[in-house]
Amino acid sequence: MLRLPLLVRIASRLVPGHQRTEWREEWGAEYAALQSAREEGVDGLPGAASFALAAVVQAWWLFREGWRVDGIVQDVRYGLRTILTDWRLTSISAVTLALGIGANGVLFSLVNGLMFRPPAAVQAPDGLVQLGRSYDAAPRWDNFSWPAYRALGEQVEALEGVAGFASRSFVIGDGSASEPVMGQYVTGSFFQLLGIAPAAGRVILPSDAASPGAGRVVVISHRQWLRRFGGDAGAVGSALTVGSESYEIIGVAPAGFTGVESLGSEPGVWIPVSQYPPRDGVDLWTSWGLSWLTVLGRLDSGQTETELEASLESASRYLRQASSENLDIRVIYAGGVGLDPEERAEAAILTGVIALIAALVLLLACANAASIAMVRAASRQSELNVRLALGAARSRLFRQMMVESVLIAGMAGLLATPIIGLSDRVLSALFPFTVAVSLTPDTRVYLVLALMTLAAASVFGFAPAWTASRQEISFGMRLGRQGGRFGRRMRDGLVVSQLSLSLALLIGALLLGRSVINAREADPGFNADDVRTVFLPLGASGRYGDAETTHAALAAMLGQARETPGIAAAAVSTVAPIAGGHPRASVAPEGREGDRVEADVVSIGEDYFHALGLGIVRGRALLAPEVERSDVVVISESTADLFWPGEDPIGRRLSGDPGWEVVGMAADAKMRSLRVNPRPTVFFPISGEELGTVALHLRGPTGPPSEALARGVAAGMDPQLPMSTIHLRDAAEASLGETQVFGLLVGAFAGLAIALAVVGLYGLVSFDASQRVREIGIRRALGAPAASVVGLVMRRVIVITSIGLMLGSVLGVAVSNALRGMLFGVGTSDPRTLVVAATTLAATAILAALQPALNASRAGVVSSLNA
Amino acid sequence: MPRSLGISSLRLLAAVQGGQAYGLDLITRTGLPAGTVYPTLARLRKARLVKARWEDQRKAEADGRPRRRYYELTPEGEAQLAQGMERVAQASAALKELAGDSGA
Repeated sequence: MLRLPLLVRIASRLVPGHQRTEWREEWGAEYAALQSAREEGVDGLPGAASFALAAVVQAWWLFREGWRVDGIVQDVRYGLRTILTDWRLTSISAVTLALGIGANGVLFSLVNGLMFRPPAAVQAPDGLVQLGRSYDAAPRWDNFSWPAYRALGEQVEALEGVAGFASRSFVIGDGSASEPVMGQYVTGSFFQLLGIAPAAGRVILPSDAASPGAGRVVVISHRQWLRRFGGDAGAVGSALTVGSESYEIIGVAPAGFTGVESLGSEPGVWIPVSQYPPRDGVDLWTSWGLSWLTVLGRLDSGQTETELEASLESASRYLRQASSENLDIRVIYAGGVGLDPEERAEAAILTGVIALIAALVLLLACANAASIAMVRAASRQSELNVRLALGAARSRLFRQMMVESVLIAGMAGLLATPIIGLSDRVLSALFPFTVAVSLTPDTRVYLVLALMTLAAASVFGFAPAWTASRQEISFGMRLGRQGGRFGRRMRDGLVVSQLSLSLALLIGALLLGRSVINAREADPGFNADDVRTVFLPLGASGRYGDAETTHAALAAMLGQARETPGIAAAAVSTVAPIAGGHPRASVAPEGREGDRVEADVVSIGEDYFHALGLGIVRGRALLAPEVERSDVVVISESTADLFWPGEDPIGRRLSGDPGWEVVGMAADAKMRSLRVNPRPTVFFPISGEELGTVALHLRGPTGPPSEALARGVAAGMDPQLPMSTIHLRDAAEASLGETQVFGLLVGAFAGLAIALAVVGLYGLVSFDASQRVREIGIRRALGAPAASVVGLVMRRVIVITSIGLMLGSVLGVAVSNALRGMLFGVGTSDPRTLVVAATTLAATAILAALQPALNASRAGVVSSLNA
Repeated sequence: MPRSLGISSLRLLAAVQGGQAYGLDLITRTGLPAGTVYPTLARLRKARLVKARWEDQRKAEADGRPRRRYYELTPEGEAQLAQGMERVAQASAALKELAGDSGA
């Protein structure tokens, strides 16, 4: 017979198996006919290429038709039927998969909202860049001063325009309708640069912010518009009290617009930057040294990033010449808005951790679904055998089983959809951070959901389908055994993967659990138990512009508080331990500029250390008259160790103009979080400072003062002030947030993983024993003791468990490394944790296997020989 | 076959009715390209308008070539062909009439 051309032979693989031989023979005859017709010189014969192409097209058509008519519909119908028959097993598969897919989907919503989705309502967000201020000697990402912002607008030619904003908290509304909201001071170019079209009225324009003090107008957010004005267009033109001043509402931002910062609270008002409150002693509009404007720009059309870099370089040179304070300044940029580069790095780490856990959970769910599919295939062995014996193509059986996997995964995907739909609530319940952007899932999230579902289906469906469709017919029919070596390896592999995933998750859970316990037991260094802190938004209320009267009012209130029964001590500071922000400043010992470090800073009033139970190790606390001065400080022990190791810091000076004298050294305390070890801290006197939010600390004699009492004390100064209070112990607990949340999550998943592994192992051993019933019977009949039969079965269990544990400890290292940032008082490769986890799991595995092994050894010899 | 047959399918059916039809033979007789003939044959077979029959092995051996696969019409195929011819005839008559009207 004539040999078919290679292309046609390849194409013949497309033809469904039962037609393939005949197809090849037919084409052999056609080629022979073509050849002889050519020899006879017949006219109108097709060329070799078009002939071969015709064969390929025909083969492709048969292939497609084979899939279509050969019963995808039939497979789906049949698949649904078997899934319903086995509904117990299949629903376990579907639910575990839904959990895995749901966890991944929720995570992806977070990543999507924070990192992928462009800010809402912004036009052409791709062209936006954020600008940052750095210094050659100390690289960083910082904001700009007003003169620097103006210079950027003129100097950076690659940008079509620049805009700036500064976030701040405000108190808006009058009396009982007043509430604290986040807001932003924006440059006149802000809304235009972003291309924001107002929902009503107009946006802030350059003319509104033309000169300092100009434009007492406000744009309110869509949400505020609905809340305060019920969406009434008459709101535009009416007045809104912001702080203590009345502003005219000129417009409403479009729905969904939350500015261009993803983290933090959603802004409720936008006010022209020209309204920015003046600061004592510095002129905001001329001072180069300040850092208060976040700056973004829009690339000119046709400009590339290379051109932007070049023009930023020349802008940097310009800034250096413009002021001596800009000695080695460098303007840097990052594409897009939402998160700045530092936040992006942090988000990437956090996301990495969650992604790893979520991926492990999905893998685990797949492994579980795969073992269930194996079990189902085993129980359908005879059916598959009959179909094979009757001539069903193996590819057809494979397809049938894959269709079932896709159906189960599809059910899981459907179950996961509502979980993912609630992503924003799930995330805000789980994680202790506020985001301004919406985390509601969009098309992209659902697309990823669909992809994950398909991926899961192929991961868990492939092995069982392959095994089941590959078995030998006669072997299978006679003994009812399934799978052969390949199937056996597959089952072992699944149990190994379940064991190793369990171990990895267990290690993670134990590390996190120990961190929580360690952190909770560790002394924070201050009295968190007895102190309640009240936050007073003095700056935002706008009524406390004058420093002198403000300090007098505070002093009067503190005086009253100390007389109040139930309050043992009272003090104020600008930042509360743990609960507040964590401002930093760079400090250096006088005369040693090279030793400059970033220290945590807090400004404190009289009696601060006493009220918070912070120990003074050396020297003294700030005295009442000293909080009126601005040239003395107390430093923490670790600051002293850093600057003057082994020496007495009292009487030393910190560099500055005119500098500060160290009068006391306080014990180190965890001012940031229970999880973070004490950092160098400097306590400045609160005097003369412009006050934003003031933290009032009230310590009770035993236990914290009641919330009502605390509020009453603060109301003594200003009953109009909206305020919030917190028990410092709660703040301390909350600072363990992520560790605790992740501990619970990982712990729950570890529990699930172990349960699934136990079920898997139990099933494996029972199955194995049932396959070897004959062999065991013969051994027993020949006099083998029951113990040796148990040993026989258990030997395999021990091998499988050991492999699982080995792989698991490798995976565990990855998990604990990912969790590094959340651990406290325990290393990432803690041998004790590893041993405890491995022993627990090994013991559990052996217990799970022992029962079926004993059953096998106890089976009657005669009955097992007859099996 | 739900849709009415196209001209190429009808030409093939007609050629098959001529008898003793195999692929290459149908190409030379209809003048259709190979890339149309073979896939259309597969399609017509799927629709059960034609059926395939293997040539007698001894006959093929006597001629010194591999046995061919001959196609012949099924009753359904014959009916479809008749219907199709009728349709074409009607269409052609309608066209002639139109051409006659405008030409006159």
